[in-house]
Amino acid sequence: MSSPVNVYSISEVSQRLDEEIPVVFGRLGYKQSFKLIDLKLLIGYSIAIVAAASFLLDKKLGHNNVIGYQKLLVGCYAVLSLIFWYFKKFVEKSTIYTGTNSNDQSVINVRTLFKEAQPLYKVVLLGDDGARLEVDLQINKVFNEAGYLQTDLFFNWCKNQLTILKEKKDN
Amino acid sequence: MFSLSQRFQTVSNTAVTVGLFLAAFIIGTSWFQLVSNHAFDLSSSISNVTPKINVRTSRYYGSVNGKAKENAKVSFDLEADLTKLFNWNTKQVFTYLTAEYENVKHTRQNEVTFWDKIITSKDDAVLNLTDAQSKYHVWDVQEKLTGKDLKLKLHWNIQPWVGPLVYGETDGTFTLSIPEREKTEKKAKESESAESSSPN
Amino acid sequence: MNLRLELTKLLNLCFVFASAYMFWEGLSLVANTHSPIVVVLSGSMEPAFQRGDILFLWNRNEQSKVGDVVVYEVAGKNIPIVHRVLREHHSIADPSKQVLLTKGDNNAGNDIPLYANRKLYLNKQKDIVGTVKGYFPQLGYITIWVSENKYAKFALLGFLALSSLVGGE
Repeated sequence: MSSPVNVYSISEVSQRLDEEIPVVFGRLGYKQSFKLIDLKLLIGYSIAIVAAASFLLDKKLGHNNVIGYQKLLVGCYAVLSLIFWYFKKFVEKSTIYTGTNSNDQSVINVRTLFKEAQPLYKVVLLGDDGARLEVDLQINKVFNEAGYLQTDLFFNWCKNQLTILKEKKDN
Repeated sequence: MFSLSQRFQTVSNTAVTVGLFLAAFIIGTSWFQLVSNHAFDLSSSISNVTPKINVRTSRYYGSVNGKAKENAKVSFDLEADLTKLFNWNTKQVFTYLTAEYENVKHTRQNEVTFWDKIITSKDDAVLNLTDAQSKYHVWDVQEKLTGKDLKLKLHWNIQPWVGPLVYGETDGTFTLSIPEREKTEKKAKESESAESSSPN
Repeated sequence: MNLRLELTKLLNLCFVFASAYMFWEGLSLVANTHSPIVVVLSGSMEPAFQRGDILFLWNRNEQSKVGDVVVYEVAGKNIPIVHRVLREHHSIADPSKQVLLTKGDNNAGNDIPLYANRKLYLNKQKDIVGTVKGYFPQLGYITIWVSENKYAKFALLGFLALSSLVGGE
């Protein structure tokens, strides 16, 4: 399968798990919505384009001839960066997966976090009716010593969490 | 199990952070030392300033198209104690003796340097000069220097090991009036110097 | 592969360059100069400034004062020179009209032989890149080393390539 990760680096481990989550929820019958990711990419790449334009303008025409444009571009860059920051902090909120169940049309929202030097993968599951489940996954339960993700173990763990969330909803 | 790049990143991040804090600490303490030592109102005395006027025709002495240009040198006495400018963030002190003057029509303000010195050690920071010669030949940008009142002052600039360059001036001043030269004497001198200096 | 995942990874790389460059551009707009940070290349201001030292420039002042350390560029040559103002002459009616004579602290004579077109003075508005306000020792030696030593360039590129290979997973 895919290559092993350095299990002593929690950021690499979480990244690997983040990449696996869409696969897992696909198997559980969810269809992924890419709205948030696409919006993030759009804002992100417009920032990159502004910076590239500023760089090219400076290189081709010389700094002193384009000061007016540069002020505009630096302003745009600042505003876009602020929007990007706001988006990540208050809209995306470390959401890495949004999907709709093809059977009952329920929506699931998955946010993940990690803290430096803690071997925990913190997952927040949000249902469309306000149900919320916060769980920590100990990473040694789904990774083996060589650094390979045991996908079936992770799948079962996610499935269990989803069941708990559904039970919460029913109560 | 840590990778090379992660290690490199962690080490360089820590180094930069520590370096910045250290620099800020050094800048702060040295500034505090300067203020508490009253380094910004040091005293000095400038006296016995006598001008010597030469006429030059070389481009490197301010002459344009070989026209005669008055060059001034001065001799002077100077007393100043700059030891307070030395603290643990002082790499060197650059001290310079300048003259401020206005042109005859009062349309232009000028400041020129007659003498300067690099002091790299606290032990050399006490200046006690008698009949010292100025380092530079000074000429005016358009007119001549004679017939003007020059206000002399001693300034200093601390060049640090890290941080901002600090400037200040000492309180001693001397006003030097360079008298207008006699017409005849001027003519004689002009022809004399024209002969002696090589055409540019 | 997953296109969105790859695009996100590429975006992170773009951000590294974009933020570094826009920081520079913002700094140069604030300081009003095309190079707000310069590396000392010559020894004419020794012992104060040595090769490889970093200088921070500011160019919002209308006039230079005698004693200011300024960076100027001579028309036709692209090398910035860091020297001290020895004399200044300015119009009282229009303070922005100012001419300067400069000299390196470590040089015997003034800079007239360096100026372009047999000029005797520099023009504050046209020739001055900025006034030196701050100093940081030796950090710029990396750039001198990289630009003057061709093996250093390969070594740096090799190191970058290696670390991206090793850290890419």
